[in-house]
Amino acid sequence: MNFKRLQNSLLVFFLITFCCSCSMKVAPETGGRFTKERPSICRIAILPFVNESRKPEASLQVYRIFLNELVASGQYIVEPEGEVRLFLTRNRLFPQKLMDASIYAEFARQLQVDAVIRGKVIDYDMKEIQGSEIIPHLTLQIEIFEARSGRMLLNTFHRRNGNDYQTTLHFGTVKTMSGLVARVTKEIYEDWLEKEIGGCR
Amino acid sequence: MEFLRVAKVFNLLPRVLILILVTWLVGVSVPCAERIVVLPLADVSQGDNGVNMAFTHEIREMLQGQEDLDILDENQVVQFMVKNRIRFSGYIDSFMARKIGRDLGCDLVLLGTITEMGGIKDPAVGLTLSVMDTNEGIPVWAGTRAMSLSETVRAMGIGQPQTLNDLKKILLEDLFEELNRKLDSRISRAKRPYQLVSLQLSPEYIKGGKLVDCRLKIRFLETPPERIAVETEAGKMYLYPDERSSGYRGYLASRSDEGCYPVSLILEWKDRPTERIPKIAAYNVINEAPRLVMDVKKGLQLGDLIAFRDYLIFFPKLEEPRPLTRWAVEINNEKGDTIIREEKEGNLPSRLVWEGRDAHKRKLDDGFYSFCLNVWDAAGNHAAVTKELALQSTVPPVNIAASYRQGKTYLEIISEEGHSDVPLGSWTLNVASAEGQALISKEGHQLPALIDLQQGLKPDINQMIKSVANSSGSIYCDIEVKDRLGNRFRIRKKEIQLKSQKAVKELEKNTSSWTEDF
Repeated sequence: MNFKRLQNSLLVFFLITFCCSCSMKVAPETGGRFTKERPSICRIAILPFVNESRKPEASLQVYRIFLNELVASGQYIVEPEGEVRLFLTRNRLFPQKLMDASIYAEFARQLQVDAVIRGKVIDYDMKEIQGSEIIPHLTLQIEIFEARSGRMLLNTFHRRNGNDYQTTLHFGTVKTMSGLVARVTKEIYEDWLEKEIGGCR
Repeated sequence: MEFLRVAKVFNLLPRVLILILVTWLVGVSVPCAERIVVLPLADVSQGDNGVNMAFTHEIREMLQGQEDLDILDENQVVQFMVKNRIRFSGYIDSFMARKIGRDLGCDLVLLGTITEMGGIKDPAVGLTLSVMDTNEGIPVWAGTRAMSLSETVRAMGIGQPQTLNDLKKILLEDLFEELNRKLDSRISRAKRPYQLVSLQLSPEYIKGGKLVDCRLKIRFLETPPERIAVETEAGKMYLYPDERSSGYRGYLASRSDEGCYPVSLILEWKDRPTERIPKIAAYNVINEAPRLVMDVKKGLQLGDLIAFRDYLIFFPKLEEPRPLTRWAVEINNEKGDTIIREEKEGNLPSRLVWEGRDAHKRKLDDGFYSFCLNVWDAAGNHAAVTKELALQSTVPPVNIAASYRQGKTYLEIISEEGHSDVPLGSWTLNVASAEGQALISKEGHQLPALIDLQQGLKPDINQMIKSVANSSGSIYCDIEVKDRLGNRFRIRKKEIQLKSQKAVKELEKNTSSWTEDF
């Protein structure tokens, strides 16, 4: 009898824990003017990210992982970083500089890309929680511009902590910043695909 | 002596042949390996321009163990970088990737960035790698892995990583396993003993339950597989060799529900495992007729009728786009006779223009016509849309005359004959004296219209008209009538003789009612 009660209690415990972990899911906030006919976005160029955090290495680290994760997704043909840097050097542009629509049109002409992605690292930090545990915090803002028209298609804002992914006990917690960046990137492009923006169909 | 030497050569011959055979076999296997260049890894933990040669070396060593990869010598890589002034790490452009391929004879370039390394409280390693194809100069694979010591908790602590080197090893093994899977698929493509030319499904669009004709064209290097089948969600169907097309053929019963159904190919080899090539073709079941809509521009909508003067532009559109086999336009007159019939193959044009002419380009008479557009989709479903039209290129003529009622003189404008479905737009009337002096100028939007020649006029004009009437003189009228389609009707300088007051009274005495002067 006691064994059965213990079994039931365990079942209830795991069910509650599972439900809690599910309810903690935070979706990226994506806004934009969507029309019924979505633009075809397959070939993309990603501009180096702007760093607004206090860590100087943040932009490069996030940029490289973001770019590689989009390649790994298999949903986009991503222009190599070298091409983008060469374009910026050739046109004497800084990623921090607010680019106008003509620059994106030039991107479309020279690199034959469908869209240009611009990103900003807003918050990037390792914070100590619950005594000794250190977990990463990341906030990104990503914008997609249609290359030919220079029109902003969408703007995604996404904020995540390593312990957002915690399932039961301490399992699932992401404790590395690189791991968190990869997870956040995946969530962002999955959100875009769900909204039928982009993807080499 | 000479005999012995010859005998020795003959003894050696089988061994030489075996050696040649082994060399040939080895030689055959080598081209299957892909040659890869490992460029120095960037290290973000050492700043924006940080490079980690030690970790690069470890990666090279791990890759040396891979069967299908041939790693280029490190010195050659460094020499190439010096020669081409590559002073950065972690990225290259497409041109440089292709140059590496051409100058160093490589298929792939491995690039990477160490995104995290070390840490005091919880040491961690983060790595992002990408592989570029030197033919196309684009990234073909990428992977990111990161791990901290506290993140990797193993059961009972068995195999628990203790140092950064342990973490590196786990990460690299994981990344290279994924890379190998990617490379395997590239290599297996090169090793395929067949060339798949085409799998043609006909028709591609079909009504549910009908048969789909499958024609496969495939070439084999060696013996063909025992059986070849096509597979859908509903099951497997074997194809038979078709001598006429020197390929394979079979008929597939299509599903009854609407949708797109992918078809996979299955090769059942005698001496190799069965191979499944997924989703290489698809057929579509369409049961419902396409929903056709058509907007009409440059006409005037009058209830269900569209009136026009010069031309109409039709914008046909399918609510859900689907391929069409043909479409036809039919224009009939009000008697039901066909004026124009045109049929074309393929999809609908974005617009159709009709200028109110027949098939011989002759302008048609005013009247009622119906414009019917028919479409047939690829599955044979038919849809049609009809628009009722009214061609009106003239305004029914109007007339103007003097009219006398209750002792007063009026000018009356009326439509002379016929009835038009197109509403009147406006009319303008200008009245002048015989000397050309402007007397009255009026506008209106309705017919018939009565214009009082006594009231509402300036006293001097009124006096002038009275004197014209008393002397039984004439006034001259210009009138222009315009309908809402823009058709115009004009009367220039129509002379109207006015009667004196006395004559009007006498006329009214003689007639019980007023008489029109038409």
